[in-house]
Amino acid sequence: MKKVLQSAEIWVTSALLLVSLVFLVGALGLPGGVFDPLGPGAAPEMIAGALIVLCLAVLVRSILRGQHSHAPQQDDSIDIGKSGDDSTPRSLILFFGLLVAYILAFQFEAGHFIPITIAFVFASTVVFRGFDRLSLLTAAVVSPILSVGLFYVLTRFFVIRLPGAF
Amino acid sequence: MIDGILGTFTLFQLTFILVGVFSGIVVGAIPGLTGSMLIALTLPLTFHMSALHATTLLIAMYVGSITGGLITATLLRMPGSPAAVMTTLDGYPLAKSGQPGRALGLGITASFIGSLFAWIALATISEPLSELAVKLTPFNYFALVMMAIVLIASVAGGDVIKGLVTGFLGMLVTFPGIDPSGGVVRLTFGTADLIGGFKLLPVLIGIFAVSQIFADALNMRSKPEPLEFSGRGMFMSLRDMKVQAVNLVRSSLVGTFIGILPGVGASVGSALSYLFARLGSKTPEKFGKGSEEGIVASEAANNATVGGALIPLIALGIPGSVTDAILIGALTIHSLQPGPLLFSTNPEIVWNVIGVYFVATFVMFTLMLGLIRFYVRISVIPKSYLLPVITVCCVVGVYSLNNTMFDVWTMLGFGVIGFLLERAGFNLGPFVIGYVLAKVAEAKLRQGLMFTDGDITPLFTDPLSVAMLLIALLLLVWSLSVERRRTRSATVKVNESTGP
Repeated sequence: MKKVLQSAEIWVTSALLLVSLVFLVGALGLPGGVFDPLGPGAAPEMIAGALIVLCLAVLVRSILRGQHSHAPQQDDSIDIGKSGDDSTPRSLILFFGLLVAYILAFQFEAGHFIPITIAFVFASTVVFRGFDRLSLLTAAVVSPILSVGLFYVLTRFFVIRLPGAF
Repeated sequence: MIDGILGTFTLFQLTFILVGVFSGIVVGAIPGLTGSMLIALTLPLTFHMSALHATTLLIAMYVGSITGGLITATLLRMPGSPAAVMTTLDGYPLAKSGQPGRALGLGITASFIGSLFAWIALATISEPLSELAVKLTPFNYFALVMMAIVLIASVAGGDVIKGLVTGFLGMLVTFPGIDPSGGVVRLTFGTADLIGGFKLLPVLIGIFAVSQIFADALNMRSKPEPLEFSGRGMFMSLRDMKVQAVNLVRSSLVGTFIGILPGVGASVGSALSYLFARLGSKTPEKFGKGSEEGIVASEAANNATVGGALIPLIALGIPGSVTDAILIGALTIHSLQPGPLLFSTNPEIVWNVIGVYFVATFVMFTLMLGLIRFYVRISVIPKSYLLPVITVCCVVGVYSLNNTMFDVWTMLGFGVIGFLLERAGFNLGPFVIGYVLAKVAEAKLRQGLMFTDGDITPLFTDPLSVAMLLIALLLLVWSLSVERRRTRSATVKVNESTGP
């Protein structure tokens, strides 16, 4: 578990380092101030610079900890209520794919809000509950009720414009 | 103040308070859903409301969500909200020993008393503090913001350096868009949609709601097993009050004080008061095994932090917690500028917040005692039904901000970022504080430099600025040294146990 965390830490920190570098380069290219001494680039430069230093510190520490495997990683998380053994990355990946498809459907106005949402709620419920007959039946009942209900509450009561083709 | 309280006794206001507290308790009672998530998701629904009604609804949700976590912490051993973690330690064992009603009753009454203590502080301290804050120079304000960011990174729990990383990352993502001082377009990397910058709502919903949905999707198989609930012993007697009096007062004061500190929040408040309660107890051995003092300490303190955290929000425009950072966003969306001038520009809003907090505390107490059986049932609704609906609400809420899909993609992007950061052990609290405060810090620094013709020395010579910067520095050094010592001692222990 700690190894996974450590490797995630290295990857995420490296990505942050890259983002900070991009911001720093972008900020360095900004013009100086006209009305004030600092100009628009100073604050992003300072913050991106500080972030680079901090990311490097996290990276170095993480790599050193990896080398000295005796040194335990500090883990302040509280385990109450968590069940790490039950992790199901498959359902997360499938759900993420469904969410991207759901947003894309709205982006390209592939249909009305209600059918797109029924499809999304149905598919996500099945992904989370499993592919057995009971889950399929429950999802088939729950998804239209929720989607139509949400549509009417949001459009009639809260007067919100919804995504999707009209 | 009286007007503020009386102003809440209209049909609309009372309805918003009832709806807000009720939904807050429900969300707080469902593990995995948090008050921050609820408030961020409700923001789009408040666009069509007046600022007064919007703040009423959001404050009521805040009060309800902190208390709701008590239910699952006690009956399922799963804290419904992070603030209820310490309640789990004694609430669950006491409930399991056949006294679930007693465990919940103690927590509810302690929550009520803690909230009332914090309300007194909120009603009396906010105005004098805001009068003091008006006199702060731009450099003072800049130093205050820097102190707030260091404070949350140091004290909010977890790794200090990682806390600073997320705090600075939150600041960094506010920069793309039009520079507010000079009108120059900066850091948009040729993307026209970025000229308006990353909007507050997509970022908040992404970081707090979508990332949480991903985390829940990963732990979908964990099913809570509730204890049998019986309402016996739910009301605290006068004798109980007497026995717990010192504990109640001490925990409420600790919670209020911790709440006032920028960004520290309810979890630290309840943990600290739990520690004090244990130190001051005649029966410390009972802690962790169903101690009534433990439940009272944790619940009085976590509710008191809500009122405490509203003090810097109203008086200084500095968020006292993550939820307060979202509330600052809500005020900004309704064209209000949180901070010392709010008392003179929109006093009706300030007194409404104070009045609503007071009334919501009583409503919370009544709804908790009256509907406890209903909340117990709600808390075990499978997440497989809840998550798809919450996701749809996230997409719709963010889209409705500007009717643009760019905001929805922004939300998804920040959801992924939040999820990955948490998986890698980064605390997300500093991110939102940094995000909310970055523009204030930059504006104040540039304003100060304009006043002094580019001379930065007043930042290091003004006693107040120096004091705040020194506090920030000392806090940082202290936190780093504590962390280092802890890691070393853990290393020695492991080496001893694995040695020859």
